[in-house]
Amino acid sequence: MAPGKSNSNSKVELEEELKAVVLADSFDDLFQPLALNRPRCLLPLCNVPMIEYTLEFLSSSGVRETILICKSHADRLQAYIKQSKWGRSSHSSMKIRIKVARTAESVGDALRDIDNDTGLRSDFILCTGMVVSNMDLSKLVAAHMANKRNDKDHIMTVLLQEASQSHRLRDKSDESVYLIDPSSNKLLGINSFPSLPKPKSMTIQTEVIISYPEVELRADLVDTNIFVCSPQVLALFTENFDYQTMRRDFIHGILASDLLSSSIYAHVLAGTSTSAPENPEDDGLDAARDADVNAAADTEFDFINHSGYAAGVIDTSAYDSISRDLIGRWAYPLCPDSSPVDGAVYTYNRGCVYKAQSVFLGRESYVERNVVLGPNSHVADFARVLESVLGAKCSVGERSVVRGAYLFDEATVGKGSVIERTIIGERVTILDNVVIERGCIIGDDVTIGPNIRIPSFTHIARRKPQSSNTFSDDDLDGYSDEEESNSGSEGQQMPGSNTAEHEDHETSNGNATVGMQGTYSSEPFDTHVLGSSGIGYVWSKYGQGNMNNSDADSDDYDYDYADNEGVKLRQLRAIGSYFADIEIAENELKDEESDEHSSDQEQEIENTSPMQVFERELRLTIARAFERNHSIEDTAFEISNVRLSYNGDQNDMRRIVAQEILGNIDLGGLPTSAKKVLSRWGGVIKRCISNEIEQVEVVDIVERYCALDPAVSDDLRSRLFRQTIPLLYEFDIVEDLAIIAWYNKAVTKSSDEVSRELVQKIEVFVDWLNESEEEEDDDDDDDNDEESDDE
Amino acid sequence: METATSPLQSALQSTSPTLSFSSFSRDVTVPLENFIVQLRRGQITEAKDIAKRTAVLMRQVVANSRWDDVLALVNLLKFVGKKLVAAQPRELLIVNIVCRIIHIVNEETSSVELIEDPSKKSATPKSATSPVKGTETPMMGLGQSGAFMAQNLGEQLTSTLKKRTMDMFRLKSSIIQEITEYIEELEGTEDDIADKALEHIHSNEIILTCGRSRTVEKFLRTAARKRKFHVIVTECAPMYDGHEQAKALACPNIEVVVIPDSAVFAIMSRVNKVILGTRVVMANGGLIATSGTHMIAAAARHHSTQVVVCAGQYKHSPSFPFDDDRFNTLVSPDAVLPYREGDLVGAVDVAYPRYDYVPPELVDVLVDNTGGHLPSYLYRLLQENYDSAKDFAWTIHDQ
Repeated sequence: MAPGKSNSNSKVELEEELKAVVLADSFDDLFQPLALNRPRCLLPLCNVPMIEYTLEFLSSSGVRETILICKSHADRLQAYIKQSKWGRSSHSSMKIRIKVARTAESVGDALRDIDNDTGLRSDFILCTGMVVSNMDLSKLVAAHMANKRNDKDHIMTVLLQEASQSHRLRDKSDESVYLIDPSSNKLLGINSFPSLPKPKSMTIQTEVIISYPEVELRADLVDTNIFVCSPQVLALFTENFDYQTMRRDFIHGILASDLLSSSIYAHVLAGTSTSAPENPEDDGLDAARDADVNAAADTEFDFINHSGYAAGVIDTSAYDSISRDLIGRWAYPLCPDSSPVDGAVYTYNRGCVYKAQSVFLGRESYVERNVVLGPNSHVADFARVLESVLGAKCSVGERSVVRGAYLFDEATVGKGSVIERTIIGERVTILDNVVIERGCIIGDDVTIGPNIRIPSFTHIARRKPQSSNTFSDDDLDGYSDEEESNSGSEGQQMPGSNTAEHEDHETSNGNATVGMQGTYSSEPFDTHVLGSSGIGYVWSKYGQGNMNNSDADSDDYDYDYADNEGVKLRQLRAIGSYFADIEIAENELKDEESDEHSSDQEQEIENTSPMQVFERELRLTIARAFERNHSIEDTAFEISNVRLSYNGDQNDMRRIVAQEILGNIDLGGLPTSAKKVLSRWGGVIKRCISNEIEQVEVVDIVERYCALDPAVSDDLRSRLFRQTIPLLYEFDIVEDLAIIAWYNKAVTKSSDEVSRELVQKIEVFVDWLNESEEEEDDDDDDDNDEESDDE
Repeated sequence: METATSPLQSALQSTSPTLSFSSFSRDVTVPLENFIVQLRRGQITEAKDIAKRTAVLMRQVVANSRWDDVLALVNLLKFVGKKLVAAQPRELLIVNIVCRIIHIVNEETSSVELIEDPSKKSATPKSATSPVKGTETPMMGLGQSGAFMAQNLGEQLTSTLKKRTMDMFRLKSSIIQEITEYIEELEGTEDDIADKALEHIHSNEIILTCGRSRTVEKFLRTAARKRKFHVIVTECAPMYDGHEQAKALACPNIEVVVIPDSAVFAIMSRVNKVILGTRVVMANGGLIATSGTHMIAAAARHHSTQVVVCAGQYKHSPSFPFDDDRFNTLVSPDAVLPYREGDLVGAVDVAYPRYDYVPPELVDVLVDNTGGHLPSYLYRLLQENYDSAKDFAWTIHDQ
């Protein structure tokens, strides 16, 4: 019956032209406020609009016709395609049709639209407009067809990229476990959870275990957002009109459903390493074959066929990692120096530095590695640029540091600024001495500075945020997908506000588009965050940066970023997030939970004393650093972040850090344990010290700790102190002068008995210091100078 | 009088280097764009394919585009060449072929002029002279003929134009013929090189080679028809195209052994001769060849083993290797470090260069389709093959 029939069908389909459907809209707002003025897929990735990578990928896979579905800024996308090489008649290898789905609110809606309209009747490739891949998809399509012959219910093949835990490509907010039948690569289930709170268990349908002799559970796969679909997929979307997202609704729905017998297969991209090239027709004895060798001259080095890189830019974190992959040439031949568009030509220089034409580098500038410099970009003397992408006509001023940042065209950075893991929009001006911490996203035309520090994960735009829900590039309704994904625990709280939001969105949609491109709001700018010359507004909803310093705007949003978990999850998807953040956030959330359960009194204290919150946060951060064995740099960075976000005091920070580290000394095994702890972690204390007075303070803190801390038993106090102080000196945490200064003060002033005893204990050591200092006065000075230079 | 506009137009065109795709007919643009796309995607990687397709494309430009004097034609060719180079900047072969074709055009032009009666030469418009010889611009040529026109305007003009069209037609067909011959020569390159095999390979020798090279394969197999010898192939990890080469070489007269790359130095003492393929031979005689070649050449030098390089003349580049990075291709490091290794991928920068630069001191003999040469003799060959067009190669990378 069926098998013969489907066989002939698939043959016919094979001969048909390969089509692709590209979702050029993402239906979420993860790139806001960058995507205010143009569709997300036109944002530059290594200075090339993202859609180009997708179209290039499809066209090189032999796709003949592509349907682009877009929603917001459809006109801009249309205009772009028209003027690009895809619109040129001589470049006729792939036809592009643009379809505007004005009312679509999600992937599901868009696909339903297609089903109604275009009537795709053959198998097609489905991907987002932000996919980067060097794969030849015909391989995947062939696999799809082959499977279809064996399994007539086969409706979709999902392309997955292998990536171990803590791979930069992974979505940190999401933990997915794929259940795969290893013999056929059939997908048996997807369990995906938000990574906060950390999932503790997952359920597997018993049928899966009963009916398959072998099931692979894989947590090392990343969704590439590339699918090969049969036309039934569209029909299924139409039938199940509540399906919104591809993975969470559709795939999960199909796999979990008892009624639908459709099956989905997975294709895992495993990289090149194992596959050696093979020559099928190997009859080496025949000399007559000589002639054939040339005729059959398939590519001499066809490693492209063996390798595969595929990834989708789903959020700013993926944007960051995919940019790095392109710069690091993982997606060869897609790299900055052989970009898919005509235009700027980049040359490769050692250390993965790509330079376009007319790049100006100051004589003393420092452009280190993994950098793309756009045409006419300018790096002044003493500026450092590393692991970054500079667009056309960008400039970086003297002594500025740009690390892990993405500057779009014509962005300028003033003198002495520091920019860390941030995306900066077009024509943004950053004035002198501005520090932008990791994870910030700065929209077009903003001005920041001078002399200001932008806390991490701050989003800034030229336009007021409240009107944002009408800039529906990445409309805010899309977030409902996310909400659903997180819904496990808190799903019920929201529906009310959510539907209200939907209505709000729809009503405002019409009238807001009028003023959309046009006038900026005349309200005063958020200069308290952006600095005295700042132009722009903080989008408080998305970042944590707002929590302290923005009281306005917050009631414009009443959907679920209000809940802390949502914000945290969102931050994990932003550029600049680390895997360690998951744990940090988790602990924070745990604390909150326990706070909620504890008495009101405690909450009051928390409200009245931010200092205590700060202290607790800091202690937690350090404890975590110990637990996870972070590097000194990371720990110091986290500490200063905590301080900035809680507006904590430097002195408090120093005290707490020193106390926490001393607290980790195992009092039982004293001499060695103290040495161990201080040699490993002393650097953190050192990072909290900027001058000599503070060094003296540190000695004082240590003394206070030894004298008063309840954790230290009385008999050990003097011993601990006596051994710690020389170690502080030995590991360069404080200088001898500071110890002597402290000692001189303490001898005269120490009040209580314990202190006096402690002071006496280090008398010998101080004497020795005094002597040695006299001897090596000059040397010491030199050393000190060098040290302070390094700082 | 309408025809009079065409030389003027072409004169203007040839003076202004701003050309665009619209200057070409569809017969040129479609294959051109196709070729560009394939180059950019790395879909054509074999050296000979690239060379041949470039030459064929150049022939199409000559045959199917509008040009009324040689300068305009050379400009068109340069324009197309630049487009191709932009698509794959590190592919030096394209530059070689473009230079060669321009040289052919120039040579052909001067030979056509030589055949002509020297007395008539003043009547022929100067714009037909080759850009190398002709210092006058075509505009000046036109002005001169304008002086002629003062006497007998209509007659003079039509006769000049007619003559000119005839010349151009003749020139065009002879250029096309030359290019066709060149393409045939390209196709036969490997056989021509293989013919020299018996001069270099003797019975019972132990030959070492590296990587996949069809030229070397043919060279060795031709020798194997008459003689029996051993071949050691290095595997060229991580691409392992040495395996492929070994498979292709295996035949009754050749005993093939595959060794890991690291064993090269150890085995070199037993090797009689090293025969290498290469991607490009630079103007100083240095090689751009598969990674691992430099190591082999250095080991061979240490043991005073002869290094023979088989490369067709189309691989001779008029450029000098001033910047190693520019001539190398770095491919995906996936083969060295699998992309899935998350902890490492984020922390380590991995470079996987496809080619080595081998300095000319380490090369003993270059065998091309005309015979064996010393690397120091290369300048002579370059002079012959490219002479007038070298400037194209020298300027193209500066932009």
